[in-house]
Amino acid sequence: MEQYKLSTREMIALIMLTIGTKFTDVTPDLVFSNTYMAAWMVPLISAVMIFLPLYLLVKLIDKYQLSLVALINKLTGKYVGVFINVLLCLFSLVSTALLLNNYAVILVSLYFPQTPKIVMLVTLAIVCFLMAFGGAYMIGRTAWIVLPYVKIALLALLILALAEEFDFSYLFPLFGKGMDVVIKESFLNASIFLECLFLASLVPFMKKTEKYSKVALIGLGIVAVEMSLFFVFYIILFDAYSLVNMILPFQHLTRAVELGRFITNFEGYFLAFWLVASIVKYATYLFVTTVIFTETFQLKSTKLYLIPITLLIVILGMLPENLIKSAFIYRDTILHTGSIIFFILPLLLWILSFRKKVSVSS
Amino acid sequence: MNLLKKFLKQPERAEAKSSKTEVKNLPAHFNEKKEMISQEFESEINKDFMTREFKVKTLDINANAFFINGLVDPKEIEQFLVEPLTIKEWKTNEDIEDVELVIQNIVPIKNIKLVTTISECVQGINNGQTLLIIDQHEIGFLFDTTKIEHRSIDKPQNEQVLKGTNEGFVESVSVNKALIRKQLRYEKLVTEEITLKNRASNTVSLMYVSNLVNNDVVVEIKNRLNSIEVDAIQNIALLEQYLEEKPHSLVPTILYTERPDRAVSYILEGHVILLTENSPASLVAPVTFWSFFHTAEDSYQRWAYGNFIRLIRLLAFFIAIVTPAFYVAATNFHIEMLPTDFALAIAAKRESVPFPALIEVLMMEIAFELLREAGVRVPAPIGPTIGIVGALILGQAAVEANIISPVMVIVVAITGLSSFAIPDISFSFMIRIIRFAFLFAAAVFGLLGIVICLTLSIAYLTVLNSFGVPFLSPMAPYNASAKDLIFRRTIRKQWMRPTNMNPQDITREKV
Repeated sequence: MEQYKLSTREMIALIMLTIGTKFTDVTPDLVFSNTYMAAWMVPLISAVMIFLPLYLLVKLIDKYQLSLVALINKLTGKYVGVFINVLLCLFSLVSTALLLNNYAVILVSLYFPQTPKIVMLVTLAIVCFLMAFGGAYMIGRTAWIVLPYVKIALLALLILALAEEFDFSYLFPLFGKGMDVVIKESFLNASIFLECLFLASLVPFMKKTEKYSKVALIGLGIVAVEMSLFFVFYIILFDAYSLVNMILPFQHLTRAVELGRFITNFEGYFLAFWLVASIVKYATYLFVTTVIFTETFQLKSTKLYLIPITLLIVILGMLPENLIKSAFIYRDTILHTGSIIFFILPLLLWILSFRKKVSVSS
Repeated sequence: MNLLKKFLKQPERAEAKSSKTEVKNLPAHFNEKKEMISQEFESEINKDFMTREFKVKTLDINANAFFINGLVDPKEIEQFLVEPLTIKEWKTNEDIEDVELVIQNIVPIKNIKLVTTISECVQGINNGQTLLIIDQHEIGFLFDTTKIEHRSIDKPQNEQVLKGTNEGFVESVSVNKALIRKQLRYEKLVTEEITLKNRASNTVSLMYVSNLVNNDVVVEIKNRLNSIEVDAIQNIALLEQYLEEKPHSLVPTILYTERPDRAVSYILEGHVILLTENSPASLVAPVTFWSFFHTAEDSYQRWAYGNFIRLIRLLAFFIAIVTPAFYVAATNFHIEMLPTDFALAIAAKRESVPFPALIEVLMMEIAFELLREAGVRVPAPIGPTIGIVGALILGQAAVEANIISPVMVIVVAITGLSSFAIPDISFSFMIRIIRFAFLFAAAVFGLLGIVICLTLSIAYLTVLNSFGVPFLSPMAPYNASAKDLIFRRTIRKQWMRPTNMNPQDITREKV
């Protein structure tokens, strides 16, 4: 029934769990290695930069009442449309595989040293598959339910971190290696927020299509501020220069905080919330990838194609040998290409929408 | 594929049986009529089947009354049926040949029904009515003389409160309806009776407020009731299982309540209540997770007190599900999570225990479940023995014998105590069973296993439906409501009905 479809809340929860947990994996390392103490500006500047393309995109979705895939198909024509959609699907597939591998490595190296990486990867994939199999409603509703607990845990972490030794002078010089570097990095790393674009493929599951503009823009604002806040904390606690050599600052932070003499190791508690968020996150990626695939080729059953796509992701995820390698591949191939897609695709669609204007009104 | 389908196809039921009942009308001849009805009830061997022949004075013709001993009130038959018919004479100018008019005027019984077919007669007698047949007429009369013995109104057995009414449903549907009507005197409160299409012709009463309820739900419930194909449904606990969508699921999707006040509060939110004979409870449909989580008392106690007990209950939920799993995960995988001194203490105590933590937990959990089941089944006079066995042998002696560590006793005790704090029996069972899944997952993957189970459980609940209403609504999917979910607002702010139910009127303000 109409009233049980996804609402703005559930979609924002999805954005906050997919993008709003990126500062807990290798993303900070990718940003810090060039911008140093100015890294906290990168999410904010990126968000400002992609605001315009994103705004154009959501307005187009509003206007045509179509999902991302259908919109591309309509505006670029049948053949070019399929080509772009296949590209998007491949992009989503590869980045999901690399990130899943990333998470499996984090878990194995930090928490389960005796577990083989492949076991962890397969377990994560199976769990995310089960959840994605439940469909968009299962993912969206679960995201909305777990969101407050995940965010409360993150807030608790920040409050505990305040008890540690920190130094605001680490934030200076304000622009790190220079204004130009910051702006360049912001541009290249804009794909941190790429989920705002990809989640538009879930529009058919929403109560009202026009609410997606609200979802994407509000979501973008919240996660940009949140990420920036965490980057500030990382810098004032660890200093930007040591962060360059610290691949997982979030996990370091959870190890650093303590509550009095009795509970000195908090990482387990944060691990639980981090895992909940991760499972929802990858289930979303899996589902979005599959939806893009099935919609591109106009296949009926999304659930059926979830199985081969999960398998493909597991196989691709096994390829990178270690965390550093996968992180670098991720940065070079995915983050930077993603940013370019993010800037060009909405503009392209927008320009093309003028061409098709006649057909809309008719 | 076709072959597979053939295998999966359920064997078709013999349709012939149901269509055999052709309509037989009552014949005019007196003895023929008498014979037919007596035959239906096997009067030669059935000593409960009673016939009483007499002459109706006014009409001056023979009549016969049939009833079943034990289902009727013999005094009522004597005083209000046989006596007036045999003694009283109706003097009037009207046509004395109109039998119906004569009977209506002579017999002072509140409900008289005219019947013409054998099957109607049989059903009436089965339900405790008295059948009267008269010579030369092809009709019969059913008099409402039902009096079925039942327990008197008592306290609810499983849903106790400290503050609030103490009346519980009993095994009589008419009393139960009266208990509901007593609390909600409203002209739009309707009772619809559905006769099931089965051999025993069980009747199910649906109660709802006609200008609140979502009509789709009523239709859905009726459809499900009509599709039940079984000889007889003894009581509502069995009916519950015939109505559910997913019989294999651990999660209940229909609420079973013994409290009329709770039933009324659900009726006022636009739910439907189902009642059947012989059941000291009612069913509420559709329901959500929150119906199982709440108790009547949460609303009766003042805002702060009510929310406090809800907080305790929420804790009980989590403790009952994850404590044993967490113990295994923490001792095997994440020893650093515990404060160092505590970890050392556990290790020191566990030194003399020869089993791994998982086996230790399993042994104690099984022992506790045994104790619990035995406690329910044990005859009352030897009940106290259970306490001694439980406390002494399982607690103290097992520790001294180095079978388990002392921490284990605390883990199991607090888990057990928490599971007792869960108000609904079905939910309590669900948690007792799911706990083992968490335990095994924790034994394999530590904290990751617990988190996987927890997330998948929540995910499963989000897509479950009860009569078309999502199980975790109005939280997810979000629908406007008075936010009476984990915590509740003050009673004055609860002016809204939960809109996930699709009630016809969403505010509780006066009409």
